[in-house]
Amino acid sequence: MKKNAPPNRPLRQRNTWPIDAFAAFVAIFAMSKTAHAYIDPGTGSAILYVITGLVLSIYFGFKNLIFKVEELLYRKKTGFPVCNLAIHCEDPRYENTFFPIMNALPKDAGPVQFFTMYERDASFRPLPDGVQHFAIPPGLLGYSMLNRLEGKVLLTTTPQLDVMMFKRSKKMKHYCYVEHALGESRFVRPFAYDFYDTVLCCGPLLKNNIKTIEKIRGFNSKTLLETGIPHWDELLQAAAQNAPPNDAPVVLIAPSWGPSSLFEVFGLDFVEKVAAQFRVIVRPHPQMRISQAALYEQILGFENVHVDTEPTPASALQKADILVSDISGIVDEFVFIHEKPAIVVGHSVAVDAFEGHFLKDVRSLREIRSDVVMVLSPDDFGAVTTKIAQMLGKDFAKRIPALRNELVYNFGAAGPAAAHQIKEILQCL
Amino acid sequence: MSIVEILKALLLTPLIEIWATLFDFIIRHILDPGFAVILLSVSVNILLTPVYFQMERASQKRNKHRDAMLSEIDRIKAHYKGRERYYYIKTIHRQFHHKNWHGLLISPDLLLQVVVFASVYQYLSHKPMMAGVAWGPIQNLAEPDKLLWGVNLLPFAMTALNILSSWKYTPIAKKRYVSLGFAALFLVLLYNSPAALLLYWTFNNLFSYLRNLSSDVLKKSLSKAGAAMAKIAEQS
Repeated sequence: MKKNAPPNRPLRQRNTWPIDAFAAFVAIFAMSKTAHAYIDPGTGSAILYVITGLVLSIYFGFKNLIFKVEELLYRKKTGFPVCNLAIHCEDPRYENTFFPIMNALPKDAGPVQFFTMYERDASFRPLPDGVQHFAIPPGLLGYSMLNRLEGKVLLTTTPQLDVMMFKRSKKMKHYCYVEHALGESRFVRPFAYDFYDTVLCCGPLLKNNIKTIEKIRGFNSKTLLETGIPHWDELLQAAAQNAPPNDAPVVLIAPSWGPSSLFEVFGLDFVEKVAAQFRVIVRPHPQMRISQAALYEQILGFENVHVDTEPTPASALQKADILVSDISGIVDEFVFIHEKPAIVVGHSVAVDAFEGHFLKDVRSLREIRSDVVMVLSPDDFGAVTTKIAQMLGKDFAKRIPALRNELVYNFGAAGPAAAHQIKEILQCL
Repeated sequence: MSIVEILKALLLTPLIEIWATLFDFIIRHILDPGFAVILLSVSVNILLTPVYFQMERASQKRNKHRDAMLSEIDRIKAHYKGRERYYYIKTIHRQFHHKNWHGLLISPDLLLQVVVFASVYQYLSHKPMMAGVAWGPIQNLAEPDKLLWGVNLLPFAMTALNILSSWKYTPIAKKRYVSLGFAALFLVLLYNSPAALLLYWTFNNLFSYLRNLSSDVLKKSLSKAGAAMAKIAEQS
């Protein structure tokens, strides 16, 4: 052993605080990233991760506090009775989903409390006997009341329970969601169904897709019941009072409103081109009268075209042989209730923002029904008249009912099915 | 007794005793102090290898879980803003059983690394036997090496290994840059450290790098062998 200095002198006299401080900092705050057996840059990134975690914790804590205070400010004594079956209706357009259920609910299922986030005046359809109505305010205040409701079952068409402002009440035993359209859980916002106890599914596609998402997320599995679409029961009854067959094909053009509607994107000229070959009914969206008044006036001025401005589209749907639209809700009703084909114009929608992100490998409703609902890309819209003629030339008499059986539970009897299922839930609680 | 002293007595002192026993044993048989430091480094690593492997497995599982959560959060951030984004992220945390304070917890493997680092540091920093001891071209193991015309070489050797390790084991570019930044920070912090400590640390890093490398090679070989076996089984 070679020695240049006397032993027993401490190895280092210099200040070691940077390393000591660093080691102490690591010891107190660090979190793992890599598992190499030495303090290395990988560990350093873990420390950075911890610092980020600390900043985020403070940020989230502060934001959480703001939202909690906001919720507290909206908290108000409700004074509502203890509910048996509480039905929450967010908007008048969802009432048609609840009426077939309320009408079919047997008396021994117990009373129904109907909570609407709007006032109901005499112009509304009268509620069935024994249904108590409570109007609650829309938005935060209304949800604050719902969040403290006491009772057995709450039935709603509003998704995302326990995600945003609509929370589970500690005193409500069971939450139940019912579909108001032919949905597939593809274009709904995140966590749409995750925290419900029961989902009354419209069809197998929705049921299977919810199961797929459940497996991915690992949340508790829900009860998924085979119900159907209650408001279709009434639409079917109305459609059964058939209009006489047309002597020439009638094309119904019923697009949405706003900047992406057919009339905004392609103008009005195409209507005249179609009208040159077929009888045409144009049904402008009711919102267009308010939001796009000038365009609405132009549509009312169409010649050789019938403009339908009835409060509901029922009569126009009944008269038409084919529908051209850019929204899917009305298309499903037209195709599966009136058993006639449709053409939907639009781009395929990216699903990354929605639950469809998890369903990219699952066949979509659009693909499944593509032979009865033609999807026309905006680039091909110039050929719309030819495509209408093509679709009118096909026979859908067998295909549509067969497809409907594949896609929809309890067609025409979803209201009684839902009522029976809800009664069973009530009895189990 | 302060908390720091209690922690030191509980966590560091037992390990320092072990390192001292180990080093005394080595130095009794190998009279070369520099080589003894290298052997101490290799011995500590060998002793801790089973523990680290076990912890690495647990760490990989945790990282996989955390990456899945972060990927979901990134997706939400790309599409939503404000209140909606806040509530979705909160729900993602609920899905992954994550609480905000989890980010402040120290994981067992890092705790072990830190404790080992601190104990070795304490041990070698206060070891009088190294004072004035020359080893090869290094004039004094208790002082910075000053091997390149007054510039310390060992900190750069350690940093080169750190960069190599970051490059190989940090596949995501953003994280790699953070790792490289920390390699630079370590260079600054340890630049003036005694040669004995840097010798220990450079060999410690080298050993760990080689261990990870051999582990990768072994995994690849096993995977190839598995695929070959599966192919044979399919053919038969």
